[in-house]
Amino acid sequence: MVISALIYANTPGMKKGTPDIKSISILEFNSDGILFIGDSKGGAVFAVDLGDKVKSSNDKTLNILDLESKLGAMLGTSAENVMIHDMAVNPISQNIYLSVSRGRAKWSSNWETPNDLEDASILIKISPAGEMTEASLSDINYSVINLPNPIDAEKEHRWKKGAKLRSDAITDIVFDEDKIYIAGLSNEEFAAAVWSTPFPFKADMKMNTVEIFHGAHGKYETSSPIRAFLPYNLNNSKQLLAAYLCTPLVTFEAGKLSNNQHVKGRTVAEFGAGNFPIDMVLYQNNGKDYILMSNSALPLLLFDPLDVGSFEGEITEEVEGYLSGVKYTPRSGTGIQQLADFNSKFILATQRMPSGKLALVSLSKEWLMP
Amino acid sequence: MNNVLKGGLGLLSYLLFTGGLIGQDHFFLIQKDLQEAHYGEIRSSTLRMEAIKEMTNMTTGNFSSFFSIKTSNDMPSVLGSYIIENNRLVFQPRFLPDPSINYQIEFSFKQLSKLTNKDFGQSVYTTTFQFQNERFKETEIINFYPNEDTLPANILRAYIHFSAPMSFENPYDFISILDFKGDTLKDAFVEIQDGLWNADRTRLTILFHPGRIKRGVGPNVKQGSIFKDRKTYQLAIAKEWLDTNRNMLKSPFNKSFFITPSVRLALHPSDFKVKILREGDRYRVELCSDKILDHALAARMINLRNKDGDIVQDAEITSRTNSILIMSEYLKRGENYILSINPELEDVSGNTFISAFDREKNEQATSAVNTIVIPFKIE
Repeated sequence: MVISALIYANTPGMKKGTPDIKSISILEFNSDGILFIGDSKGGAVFAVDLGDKVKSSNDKTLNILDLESKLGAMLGTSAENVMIHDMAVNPISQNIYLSVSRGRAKWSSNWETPNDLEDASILIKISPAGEMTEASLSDINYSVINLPNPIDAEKEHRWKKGAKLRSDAITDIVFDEDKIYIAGLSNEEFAAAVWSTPFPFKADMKMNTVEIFHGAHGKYETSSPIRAFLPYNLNNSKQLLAAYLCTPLVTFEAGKLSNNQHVKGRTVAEFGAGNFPIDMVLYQNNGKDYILMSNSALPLLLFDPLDVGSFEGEITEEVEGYLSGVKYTPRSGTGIQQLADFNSKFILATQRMPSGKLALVSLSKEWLMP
Repeated sequence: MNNVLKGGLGLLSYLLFTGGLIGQDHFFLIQKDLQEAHYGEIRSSTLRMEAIKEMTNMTTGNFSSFFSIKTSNDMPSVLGSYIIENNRLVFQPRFLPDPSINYQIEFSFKQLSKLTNKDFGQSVYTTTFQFQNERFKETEIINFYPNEDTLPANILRAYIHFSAPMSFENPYDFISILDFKGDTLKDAFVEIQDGLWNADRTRLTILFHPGRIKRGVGPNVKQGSIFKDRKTYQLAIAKEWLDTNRNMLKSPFNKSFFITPSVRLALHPSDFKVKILREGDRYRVELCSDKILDHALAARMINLRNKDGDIVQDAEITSRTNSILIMSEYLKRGENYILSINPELEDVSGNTFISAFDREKNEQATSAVNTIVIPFKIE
């Protein structure tokens, strides 16, 4: 049963116009239905009000078997040439938003991300019923804030030949209460950074460089950015739970990330080398919180945030066998890429099927438990 | 009923049965030239004014319901926008066509009638089209003027010629000059955001900051001149600059040049000499000078005229180091010709026949200089 009601919000600081977005690298919604677009190429974060505020209480599944074919048709190309850069679900309307580009045909390395290859230039909206349209970014209410000192556009990747580090200027965005946190790479000597700023945007954005111990590599690292993170209260303290390439799980005290300092995280798990964490989502099963993480080379990893909170150790030495730390449960579902909380019963995911097609699937929260 | 009438009725029945479904390639005009700015656009045939009027406030969704482009019939329509131009409905795709796709194009007056509740007939026009499958020809820089390796320190402007139209990006995001230490020069250009282009965006004029070139002017006093004498510089153009089809250049462009002292003298006819060379049936006329002339101005300010003063057809003016080459197959042996030069022709430092660009305070410009005329005869 779908109940619709109109919720109107007027966000201060926004103006009407067409934002000059150079790349739709990262997507994130806040609870008011404002979409945050991380623009790595432009070095900015845009808050856009798409006017998508009709509340939906749909609790059904949505499955689209061959998502890339449909996207390809809209982009005038074949399924093989479509890339999805990010996915986010508007918590009010349950409309799904995808940042998309053409260019998958040249994706030849597991170490590349879509943002390395192309600038996503189009936003596609999928309704809970599966209707697909373009979400226009023209003549809308929006505000923008520039990242102070993002990684220089010309800096080349040390080991990804031909790739520029700028594509990782913004790797993830989370919204927590009245603040947004942006993970990515800065132009500082210690490049990995987390920016934070209140929303509605004010003039200042704080930047903290971050450092972690990488268990699989056996060393402290400052140049690899957070790949996926989310805020969570652990032991009465707001933490950012962050996953990195190859695949440490780290906590940062959010309170330390607001005063332009160099901050060290606490490595609480190591999930192994050769893997990109792609997405992280918080959900409830029988009233209890769990975190689900999707990966490029590992299955879904499910862990209980209370296990993170109660983990007293810290990984500060090389991890033999690559796996250590907080308890986690690998869950079935290979090929799962993007994750987003969809409705009270389901998590939405994109999944590469054995046929090679990319499906939009609904994962039942009821079944996702350790 | 005779056989002709039976045949006519049969044809009419067939047409009625098919509902007027016509595969009409000539109904659609498709811009299929890769190098054109409107590559990928699909236009309908000219439409009746009544139909145009109904389309005035239509949404993209309305348009795509009767004028659709699809990768296959069971898929959503290709995203794009619709405009009305010269009484045709034009579809502008959001992305460039994919040469691997056979696009299904349909214009349905039947659907238009239904949408508008007006009678525009029941015809449905369809066609399929696959855009060029050959390798796209990458845009490249085909010329840079002045093309000399030594340039005066007070050079005012230069021209970059591209093989195809370029996009509307800020050119100065892609052009830089490195000094002899490898540092990028700051404030070397007058940065006109969208660039100073010719009509088809294949020639960019870049202006060196005249305020830093002209002596005694604020920027020159504050920052000094752009270039230092007897030093080598390198102009670099990045490959990432997009052409109008949003493809990068074929390769980056680099040009090194050695800076010589500023040239602050007005041009004079004695600076030029005419040489006549024969190549087969054609006579090559070279206008030689040690002045480096502004290439674009030379092309339109130097004319080859016959004895009657008429501009010779087919004259071709190109710039070479220390000369302007003019070649024409119409030059006849034994005939008299004239090279006429507009006195406002500039060298690369902005000096004309009338005055130097940057003259001394007490120096007067030469008044009312007439067209420079250099007569010669093909012997």
